Amino acid sequence: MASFPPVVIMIGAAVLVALMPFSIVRKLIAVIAPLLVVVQLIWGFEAGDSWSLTWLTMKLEPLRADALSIVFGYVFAIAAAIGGIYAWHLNDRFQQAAAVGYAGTSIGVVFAGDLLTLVVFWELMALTSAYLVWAGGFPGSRGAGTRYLFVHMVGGSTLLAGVLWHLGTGGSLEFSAFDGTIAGWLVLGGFAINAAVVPLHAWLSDAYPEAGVAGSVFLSAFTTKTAVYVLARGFAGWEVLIFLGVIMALYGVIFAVLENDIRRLLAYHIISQVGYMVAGVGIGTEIAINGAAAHAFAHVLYKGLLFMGAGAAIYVTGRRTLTALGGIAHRMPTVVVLYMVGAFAISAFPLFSGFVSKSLVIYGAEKEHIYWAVALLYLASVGTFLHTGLKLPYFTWFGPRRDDIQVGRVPRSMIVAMFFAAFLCIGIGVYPAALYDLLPYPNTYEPYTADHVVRTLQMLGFTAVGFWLLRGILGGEATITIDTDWFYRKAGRLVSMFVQTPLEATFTCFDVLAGGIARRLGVLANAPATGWSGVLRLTTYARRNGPDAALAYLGRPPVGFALAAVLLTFAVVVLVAQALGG
Amino acid sequence: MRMRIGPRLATALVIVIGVALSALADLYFFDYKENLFFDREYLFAGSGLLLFWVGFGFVGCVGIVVISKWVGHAFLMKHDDPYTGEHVEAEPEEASDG
Repeated sequence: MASFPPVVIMIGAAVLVALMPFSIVRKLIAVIAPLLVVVQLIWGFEAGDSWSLTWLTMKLEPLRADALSIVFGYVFAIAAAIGGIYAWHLNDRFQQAAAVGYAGTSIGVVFAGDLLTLVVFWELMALTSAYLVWAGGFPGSRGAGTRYLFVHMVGGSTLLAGVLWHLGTGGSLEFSAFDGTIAGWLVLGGFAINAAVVPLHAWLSDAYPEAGVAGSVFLSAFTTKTAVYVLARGFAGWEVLIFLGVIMALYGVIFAVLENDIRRLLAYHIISQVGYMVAGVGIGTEIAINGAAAHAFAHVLYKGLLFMGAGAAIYVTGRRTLTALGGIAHRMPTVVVLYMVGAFAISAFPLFSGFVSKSLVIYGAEKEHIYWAVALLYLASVGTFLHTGLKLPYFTWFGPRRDDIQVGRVPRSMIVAMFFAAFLCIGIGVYPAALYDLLPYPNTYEPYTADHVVRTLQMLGFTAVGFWLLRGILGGEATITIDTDWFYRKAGRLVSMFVQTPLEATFTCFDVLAGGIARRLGVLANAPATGWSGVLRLTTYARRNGPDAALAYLGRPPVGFALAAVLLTFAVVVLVAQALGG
Repeated sequence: MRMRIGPRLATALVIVIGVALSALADLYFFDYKENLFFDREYLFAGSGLLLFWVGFGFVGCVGIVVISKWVGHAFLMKHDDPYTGEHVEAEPEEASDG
């Protein structure tokens, strides 16, 4: 296959899905299109391939393939295919199209060689993913989706401002490493929002649990990992990212203790796991960048698997909180087993993918003698196993049997998708060379040393002991946890009260006024048909009975009204433009 | 067909697993003294101590739970939705799938 941007396949597929009336064909397209991208990456791509075009004197590069972009491209395409299988039960055409488009635009970001292409796909990614939240169907989906879009529009605008500043100060359009200028910091701010860097992270735990069960699987894969990719390309070695990454790793763990909603708990662990990657990017050495890329690859798969397991529980029970679940493992044993594969992978148990990827990031910190980061990242590992490996499965599936929970049948497609993800999690853990060979730099790290295995087993084993002793206080509580979104949600209410409402009232006044004038002009525009004497009669009639009644009195379609409205609008626009231009 | 584990088999399994774990523990302690089987990696101060990672896992787990719960109950967890004012119900409404 020739080297053309893989995003073409995915966007084309998204359009086809949106237009296709046959459900089965839509589902097939959603699975086959990402598989075609995998095939293209295997046989049609080599590091160094590029594809460019000129637009308005700018050289755009929608395809720039190198080792870093290819590793992310692989995992995004695989995740999209698995997500397509998991979403097989869905018959929502636009949600399916949004999911394929979201995966496609994420792939577009990782292969973008210039900043303009990057910004375009970045914004499209925000739009398509926001639709997945809106389509969730939960009572909170609409509000969460709107907040999600708002935050990402702010992030996109920050990114665009940085890019324009960069170009305005003589910077190149090529997407490469940034320096510590204002433009660089603005771009970093835009990327940091998508990476859910604390304290810009609350959109993630707010929105992901409100998407549909299939939508959240897609959401868990792309946005934060594209951010890791762009950080690795643009900001490798920025020391501030080590601090931010470690804070993220611990912050997610702490908030997960407080969570009752099972997918919000997993969402906090996305923040925690992305923290490892951000820290790896901050360290910036070849080993650490390898670690960030490897962990992103592993994370997309095991986090998708965890969301699939939690989503299956929600799908068959209609319940989403720890307090409302429990005691149903015997009704869905396969889901529990496959979920636990994901749990062992994220907890970095030997023979699972997280063990070979997370340790690479920590090894990167160790080689640079950043021991405080090593210790704190290990501590975050303890918290990860505590929540995703112990707390969530225990309170969701185990405990005393509950007969008050109606459990439906898990669709076979969900099981199949989980099986594929679990297979890859174990495959990478057992044979890490398959992943290491894809990494951007040559890798000599050996994860399976006796000391590393024993150390990990001791640490996680006694985390389990701690959980067992404390399980009485670890169950869910029917509360809402305040996060940093409190600031903009409260501020949003104030903005609504003091800015939006008066503005809307003003616009309504003008709207009524303009409408009134337009309708009166419409009456006049129709007047020639009745002669000039009719003008006076109509005007009088309109004054007494209203302009609409006057139009009805004429007994003709109100063509003049539309004409007058268009002319008036045009006149207003021209006047405003003149005023602004002058 | 469900497989049933009889009491004798269960006892035998417990003994086998117990012996295996004891042997592994003995090996670990022996190796700690003699350093025969694996090259120990000393990541940071104290990490080479005997059973350091056992304590790290246990104390880390307890610390995370206790600190998080304290911070949560003191500042972050609310029984009433701060945005709508509604009381948070223990049993949520039936979820729908999108």
